[in-house]
Amino acid sequence: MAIGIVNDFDMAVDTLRSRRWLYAQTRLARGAMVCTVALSWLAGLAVIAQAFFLSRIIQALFIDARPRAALAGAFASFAAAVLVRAALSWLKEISAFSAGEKVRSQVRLRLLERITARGPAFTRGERTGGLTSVCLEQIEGLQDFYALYLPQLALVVLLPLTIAAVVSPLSWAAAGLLLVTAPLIPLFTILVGMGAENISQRHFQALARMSAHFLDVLQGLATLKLFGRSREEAERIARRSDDFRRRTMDVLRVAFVSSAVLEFFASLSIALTAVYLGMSYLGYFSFGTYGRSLNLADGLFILLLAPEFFLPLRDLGAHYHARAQALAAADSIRILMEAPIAGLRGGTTRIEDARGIRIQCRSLHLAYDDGRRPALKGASLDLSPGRHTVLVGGSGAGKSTLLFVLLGFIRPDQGDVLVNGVPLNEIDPAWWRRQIGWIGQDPVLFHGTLRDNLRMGRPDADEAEITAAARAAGVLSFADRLPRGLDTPVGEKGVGLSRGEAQRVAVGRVFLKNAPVLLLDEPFSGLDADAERLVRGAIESYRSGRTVLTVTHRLADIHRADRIEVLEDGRVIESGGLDELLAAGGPFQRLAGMHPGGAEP
Amino acid sequence: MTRGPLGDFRPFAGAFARHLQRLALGTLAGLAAAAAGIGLMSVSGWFISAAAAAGLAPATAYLFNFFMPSIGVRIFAILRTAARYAERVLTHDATLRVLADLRVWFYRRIEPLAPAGLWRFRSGDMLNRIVADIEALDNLYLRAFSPAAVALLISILAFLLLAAVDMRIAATFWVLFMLAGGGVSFAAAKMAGPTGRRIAIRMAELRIRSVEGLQGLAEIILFEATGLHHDRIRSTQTALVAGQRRMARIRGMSAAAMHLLSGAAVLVALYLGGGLVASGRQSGDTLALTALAIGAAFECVFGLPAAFQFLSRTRMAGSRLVEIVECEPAVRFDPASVTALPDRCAVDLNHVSFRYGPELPWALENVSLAVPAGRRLAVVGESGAGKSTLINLLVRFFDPVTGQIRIGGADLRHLSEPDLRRTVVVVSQQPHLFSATARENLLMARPDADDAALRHALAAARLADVVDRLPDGLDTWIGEAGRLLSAGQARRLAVARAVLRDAPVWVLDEPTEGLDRRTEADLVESLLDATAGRTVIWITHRLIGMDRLDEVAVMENGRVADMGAHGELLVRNPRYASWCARMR
Repeated sequence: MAIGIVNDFDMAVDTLRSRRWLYAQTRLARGAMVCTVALSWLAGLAVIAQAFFLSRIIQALFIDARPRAALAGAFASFAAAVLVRAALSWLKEISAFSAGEKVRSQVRLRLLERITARGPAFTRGERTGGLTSVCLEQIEGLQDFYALYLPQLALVVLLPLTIAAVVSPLSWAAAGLLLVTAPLIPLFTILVGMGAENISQRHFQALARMSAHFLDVLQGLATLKLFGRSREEAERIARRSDDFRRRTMDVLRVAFVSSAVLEFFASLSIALTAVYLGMSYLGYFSFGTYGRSLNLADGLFILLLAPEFFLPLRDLGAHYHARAQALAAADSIRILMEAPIAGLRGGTTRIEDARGIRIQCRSLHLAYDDGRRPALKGASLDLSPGRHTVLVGGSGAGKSTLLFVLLGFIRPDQGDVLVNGVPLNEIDPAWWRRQIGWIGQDPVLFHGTLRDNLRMGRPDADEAEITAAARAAGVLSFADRLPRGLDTPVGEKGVGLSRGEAQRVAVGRVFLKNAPVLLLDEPFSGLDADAERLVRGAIESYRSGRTVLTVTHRLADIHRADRIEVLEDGRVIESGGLDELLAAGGPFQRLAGMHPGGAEP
Repeated sequence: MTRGPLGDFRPFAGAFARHLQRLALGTLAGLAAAAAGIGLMSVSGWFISAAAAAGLAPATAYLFNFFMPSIGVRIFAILRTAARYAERVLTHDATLRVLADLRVWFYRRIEPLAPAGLWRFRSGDMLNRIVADIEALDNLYLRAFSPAAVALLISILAFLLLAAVDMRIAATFWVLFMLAGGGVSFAAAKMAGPTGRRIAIRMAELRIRSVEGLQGLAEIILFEATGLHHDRIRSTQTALVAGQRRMARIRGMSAAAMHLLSGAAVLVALYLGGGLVASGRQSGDTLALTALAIGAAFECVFGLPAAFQFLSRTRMAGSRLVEIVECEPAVRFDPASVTALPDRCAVDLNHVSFRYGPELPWALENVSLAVPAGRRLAVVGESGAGKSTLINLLVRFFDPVTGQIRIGGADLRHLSEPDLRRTVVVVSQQPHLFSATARENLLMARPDADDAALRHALAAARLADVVDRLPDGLDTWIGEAGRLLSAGQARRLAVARAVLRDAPVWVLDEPTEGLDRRTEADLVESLLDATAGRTVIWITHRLIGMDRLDEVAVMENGRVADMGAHGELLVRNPRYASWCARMR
């Protein structure tokens, strides 16, 4: 486990693309970013004014020996400069926040639209955790890039030049001293930083890895304990942590050199400025001031500005991690934004006088991963109104893919789905979605009440209709026992409800939708016997007259089917009634009778 | 119990105390860097003032000793750089050391609690939180204590320096400095507290909405709820951003206050200094010295509001961790006990009752089971019948409230933990595969196993072919929670682990739950082969292969409702028969 195995050609190209993407997003917040730079620059001018009045006051009090009462104006001007600077730095903070916020908010909403457009066929293949982290943390990670890093990139040029511009009329030698050391800093930083570009990034990387290991141990603690190995693990944690520390420090020791170089030049130029000014006053040097002699005020003014000259560079270094963070985020966001959309393009046809819906799949072909992973290899299938078709097959046979094609979440590479004779891609997708009632394996309930979740089926349903659907789906039988009935809040993945209860809500939702086509994907998996009986009963009463397809591997479902389609390796290899298939002794027989030890009925 | 502001950290003090020297050294280096910064600015200011005054007349210019100050500023410049570098290296190194210790300390504290005492914290989210909390602790020093300590010490140092010029200047500086470093920082952190909590709540809300939108995308599209979903996300985001904007305002406000206070300190010093110079009590070259010293000193406090905010967040993390480590373990093993257990062990439960809390219903009620050595018993029943509780008692994650469990004739409570673990092996419902190679995941069951033994175990679990097909065979990294393996393969790896363990008693916890039929059938075969001749308790609600086990116990509501051979039960128990029929 080497820390930070990066750098190969592909990665470099990707980084370039991500960088381009990051810069392209500036158009979302150009105004706020210009405003931030302007405010910071004005604050810089206030600092210059502060230095100016400070040096005048000291000159007047010390060299000119004027009484302080005569300097009220200078004191007031200094105070005003301080006030202006304070106000500007306040405004700058708010403006910088807005710059980052504008980009984040808009990117998040666009990403959301993009994910929705790509549909469930896409989200199914990704891990929810990963996608959520992109939508949340990664997008949050863009903030400092636009709020701090990019404005600083402008300021790092603007502020030092401004300071050089006000110093050079007084002393070209002092201005030259600053300007000569300044370009050396990025140069040295680049040289030193080549091996170890980013300090905090690496520090956090090491921390993240240590944490990942620790999390793994915590998750597996029961397993470790059962194998009697939990005590030894403490030593392993210690060893690993120490190992991490050593590696990290090796990297950090080098990485810190770059900031030390910056620090060194900043300190040195202050020291040299002071020495140059002191020696000039004493008459040892007489160059660099256009033949005039400097007074104390001029010298102090220059000295006070010397650290300010280097400050923007130092801040840039401090904001550097924002760049790495944003680049990492851009990598994941960009990939999500750029990938193609697989769902229905959609036509406009609506089949208005449908007394029922007949679906014909004609030799569907579909492969994932640019054709490398075929899922359907010529699957054909007929579904008609009033008939209950069951689709069986082992895992990987293509059942879910076929369902997704029917749902319009994914387009077949070849072949057609005909709906009452009209190809699916000529049909209005919104109309098609209204025709389908779908119940998946894992019912998702949304944040809200039971009633909210039922109402999803038909937003304009009245109270009586909701109650009827809830009763038919067996929702009322448990909701009535809850203190708040149908107004009970349910959370993410139906927290607070058992799986069977959540599934019944999903069924009620579909009842309310009252669609002519019913697609069921293993609707009883993971339910215990009582729950299964309830859900099954509810669905059966609802089925009549509709076009129904159930994906299953349960014999109980097969017994109730009008027709069975056996899918294997992306093709329907056998179909017919139950008795017919049992008599044929073909693949279905093998699938149905495969598990050993099952009791005889 | 009342605790001081730092009281919540007391339990962790040990880890910090062990590295006190390194920690102090790091802070001292930080102090040296800050002091050198003040030295650089104030000596420079003094030097050019004095030189400018001396330069007015050639005689005084000639006599002016420029050697010391010009060397002095250069030394301060180098010292500042070196000290800053040392500070960074030392503080980071110390932090990483403390972190290592904290993890080990925390692990040692929770290891005896696991898993019963950690039941509440078992969700992935909670564990993530623990890990993040520990991380927050180890930055306690780097981001909060060290900068605060440096600022405090600098305030004293700068006070002494300024007091040499004038007591009033020093006193005003000190008050304004403390107001900035203490008052403003504290007020900002105080104001940021509730806003931070609101942001966290909004963030959690946004997460829920996002997760919902991803997992329920099919539902959202099919129910045409896309617009609604997007509106919800938009409004949650707007609320989040409002909190964050308020946070930015607080940051801006505290930065402005710092600038004002530092400006005021300089102004007062100049005004008072002007009076001193006019009355001849001080030389005029001290004016620049004090002004520049004050400006440089104030740089130490600009980062403090962040440190204070961090401190309050860390305190919450600390008290959450304390809450966990102060849990009582559910069982205590007697480390001294030595019991000679036979190679073949019977398992007996004698009138065992158990509940998870005094106010909770009985999970097991008066359960008696006897499994003679080498016999295999299935325990079946609906969810909630008490099957999982039975396992928790058999592996002694909990002790029975009443009754007794014996293995090989010995009471479970009298066995040492190593003896118990050697005797009973568990294939659990969700075996944890560690982020490590397949080999390492197997070796945890028997560290001294050679390749032949590993192969044998893999073959017994019908996993040998799968492992051979992995890119690096046994040495393939199977990644986070074994993601390179399918659920069925992960389960079979756990079986291989159990085979390697070669224990006399096997406890199988729903070993085939959630697998597809073909995989399930395969795995049942493997298990039946692997456990031949062992004492087996096979807990399941998937009634497959029951005819090949010696006996079946049917559990209902925490009791054994019926017990007998599979054939007998089929005839006698209609409920059992209906379950079996459902399996077809």
